[in-house]
Amino acid sequence: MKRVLDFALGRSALVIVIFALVSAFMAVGVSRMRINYSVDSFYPEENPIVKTHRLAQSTYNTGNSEMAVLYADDIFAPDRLRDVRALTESLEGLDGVLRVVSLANTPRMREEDGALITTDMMESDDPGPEEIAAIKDYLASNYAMKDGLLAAKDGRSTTIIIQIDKSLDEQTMVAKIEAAIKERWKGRFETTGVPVLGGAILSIIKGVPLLAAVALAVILAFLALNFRSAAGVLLPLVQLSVGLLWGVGFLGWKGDSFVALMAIAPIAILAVGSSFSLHLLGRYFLELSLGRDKRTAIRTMFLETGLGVVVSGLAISASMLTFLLSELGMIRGMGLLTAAGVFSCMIAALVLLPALLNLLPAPKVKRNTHGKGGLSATLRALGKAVASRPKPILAVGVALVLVSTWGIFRIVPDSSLVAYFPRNSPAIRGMRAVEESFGGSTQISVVVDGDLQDPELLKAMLAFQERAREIPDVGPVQSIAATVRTIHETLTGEKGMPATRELAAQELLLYQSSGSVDDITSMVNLDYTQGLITVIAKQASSRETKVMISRIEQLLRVTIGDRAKIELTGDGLVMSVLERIIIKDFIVSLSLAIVLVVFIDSLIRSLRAAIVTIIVLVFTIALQYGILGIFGLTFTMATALMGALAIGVGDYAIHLTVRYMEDRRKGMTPELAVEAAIATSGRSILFTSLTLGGGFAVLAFADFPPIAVLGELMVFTVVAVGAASLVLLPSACLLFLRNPYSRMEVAE
Amino acid sequence: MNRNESLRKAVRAALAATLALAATSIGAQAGPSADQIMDKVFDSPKPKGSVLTMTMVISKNGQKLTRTLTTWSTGDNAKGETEKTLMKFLSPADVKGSGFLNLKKADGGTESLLWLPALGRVRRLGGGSSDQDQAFFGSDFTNRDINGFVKSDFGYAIVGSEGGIYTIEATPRKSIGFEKLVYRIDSSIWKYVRIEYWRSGKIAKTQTDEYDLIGGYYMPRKIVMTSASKSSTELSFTDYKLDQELGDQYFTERFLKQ
Repeated sequence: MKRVLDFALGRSALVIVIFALVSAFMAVGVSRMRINYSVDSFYPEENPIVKTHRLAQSTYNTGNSEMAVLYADDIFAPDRLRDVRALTESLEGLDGVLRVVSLANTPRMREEDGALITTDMMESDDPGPEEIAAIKDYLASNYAMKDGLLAAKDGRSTTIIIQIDKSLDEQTMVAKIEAAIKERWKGRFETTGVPVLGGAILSIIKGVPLLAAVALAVILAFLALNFRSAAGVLLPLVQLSVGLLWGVGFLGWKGDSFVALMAIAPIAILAVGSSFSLHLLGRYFLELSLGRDKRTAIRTMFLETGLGVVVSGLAISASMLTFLLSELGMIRGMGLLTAAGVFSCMIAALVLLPALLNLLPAPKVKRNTHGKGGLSATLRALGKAVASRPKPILAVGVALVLVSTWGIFRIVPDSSLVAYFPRNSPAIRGMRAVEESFGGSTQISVVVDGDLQDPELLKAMLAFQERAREIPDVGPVQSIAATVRTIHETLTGEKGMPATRELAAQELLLYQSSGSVDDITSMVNLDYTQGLITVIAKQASSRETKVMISRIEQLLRVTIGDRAKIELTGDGLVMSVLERIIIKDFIVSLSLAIVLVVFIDSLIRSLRAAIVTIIVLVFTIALQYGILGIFGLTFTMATALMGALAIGVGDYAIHLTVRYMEDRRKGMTPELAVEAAIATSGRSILFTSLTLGGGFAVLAFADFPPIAVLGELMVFTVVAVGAASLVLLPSACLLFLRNPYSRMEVAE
Repeated sequence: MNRNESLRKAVRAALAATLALAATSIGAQAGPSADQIMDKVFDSPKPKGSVLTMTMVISKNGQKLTRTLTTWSTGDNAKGETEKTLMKFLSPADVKGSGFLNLKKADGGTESLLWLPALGRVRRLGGGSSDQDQAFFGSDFTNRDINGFVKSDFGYAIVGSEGGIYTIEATPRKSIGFEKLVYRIDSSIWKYVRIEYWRSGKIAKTQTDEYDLIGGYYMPRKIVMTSASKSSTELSFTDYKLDQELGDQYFTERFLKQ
């Protein structure tokens, strides 16, 4: 560390030039960063269910589906039907639209003079009363349509399903589709589906710079309040800018995209990074106020307080890197960005900050920050109180942890998409409106491997379709079985399946010469050895979805049994498996992070110091998740990160023990050292709490509910860590760290 | 010969040469018209009757489906005759024995029948315009592509000519689901080697044709239709028996059911 300091002080101008050059290079990296707002960014790429989902999308050329519900007083009024027809044709003409299914173009089958006639539902552009009556009759009587798949039974809404090529920019497609609807449909409409939700995610990401700017302003305001000098604000601003620029630039050069969950990272970098400069500058101003010259103040700042910055910087970076073990690219990206940003902040704090301080004139310190003000008196009183009652304080801490543990067992995880958007957001309003009319807005796909022309299997699939509707939150169900039944009924008048496999095959051959091939190949492969049953379902919490999926699986066992190999996939299922992944990531990353923090701290200081310091973290993390359970807040992808972020916030525990050990080395008794540590570090801890709390509080204004909840809980975390550091940790020091030694005796 | 006379002779010779060159050039430009080219294509010699095996391979989304059919055909619309085609499925097993009979009159009117043995009935396929636009047994070809067009269905214009290949733009006179077709015609055999089907200003699908000279006729060896949606269908033809005497008894419901 001394070599680093000597270099920073001896070659200050060179250090600044190097930082400027690297920052310019990283700025180019920032410009290379792309935004990934697709819902796919939430998916674990290597998960078998996701792979099956992708394969099914490719095999059945389904792409991503957008659903639109059009409302009218009477959807069957001639002018309305004309509009639906015009809109369908307009959508079909858009580049990137793979397929449009609507009331206008859905196939209508009839037998006429021995011929199977398959036409669009609307045969003419301007349907008359006779054709409208025929359409209504077909919708009411046709087996595949009777669920109100295309038109609500009250005739006041109709659904259009638009399948979009996944390789194209979703938001451009969504915009084109919305424009087409607005142009052709003069009335209310709602849209939903994966591409529409992608748009909502994009708006969340677009809000990140504003959130970061507000967080930075809040942090700088608290720094100004604390230091009351321009240098106290501008120097952290430079250090934080470097950290943020390097972190984002690193990912940009690496070729990563910015995803929704990364919205947390800039705030975390700013909050954690500011604590480094806060502690360092706090010590610098303290030394100046005590009459030390500038160079001595810098050296003491670096060698004493810098140790805490190294320990906490490495610990936080390492703990964030544990997220690289996640199955989710989004969590890996968030972890890497935060780790890179915090590490860069640490480097800037330890190298750039001393170099800048060395070149700048020493600020005039107007008052001794350890004066006899109210705050100092309160901290001294607190120090005395803690020093006299360490055991009862620890007992209270243990009791709180026990209560929290009870709360942890009440936690309800939720990884569903709906958990990521405000209930009154346009995305959710559109989704609920579509679900009300259409019966669902997400898909669970049942991949059926078997002989899809075998009447027994087709009957079993049909039985599943009929009974699946009885499962709560399940809407329309589609499969080749319903189409085969409709063809057979149209050709023979029999309400059932063809009697033989050959008959089924030949009726399908006949249909392929009169209907659209896509009607078949979107449900079954070319040789009828694999097909899809598509279950349209409502977006629900992951717990409700799991119950629904369990009932679907049970029903599949009862109806299809061993007639075919069954595999479930689809957007609905993928979102529900995220829950398992998030819980696994949480346990693995947090455990590993705690071990790493202890390991790093014990390498630099001592194992005993590391274990005592970690008490604050364990206490805080228990409290965080206890509160989640006690107050019925859901465990989401964002709140799962709260524990790891607590490690970043918990660095003042390290600073307090560093100070305590420094005073013990100077010969103070444990009780006096605790009182001195609380009195001296307490001020920094308080202002760091305010700064970090202010930074994280900004997250509470995010449009992304999990991040907003995370922001609120992080404010609580900051307070909890602060309180634990000032009360619980000194008590633990008195009981378990009376005679500390450190591998790194840095005091000169 | 004085100097002026020599000069006049030289000028006259140069003028004559220029005129000859111009005449040659005009002669070259005045090749066959688009209608004449299409006449050559539609009127190219056809065998009186033919029997062949057709293998249809449909490729879509990484999957393949192969069907094999025996085809009997006779008649020539260009001679005012009804073109008659009968196809019988040899494979896959579940559709074996199914048959398809198509009669295309010289005026373009069609009648199609489908025999499905499992159903035990002959089914008529609609002959209307929209039915002709439907896929031919789930392939990338429509019934109309298989039945072939009638020359008078289009207006023609030459849009290019290079290396013996004429590019002809065919604008339909009635709705066929496409705004235009662009033919590439090999003038050495007077057969089209490529057809682009244009819809909404874009190529919706492309057909490529390869031929073999069999018994004095250029007969298709392979036809591939590739759709913009990335699916494709390849038809390959083997076991040609040409100039067969195929009487009307081959193109009846009775033969269809056999």
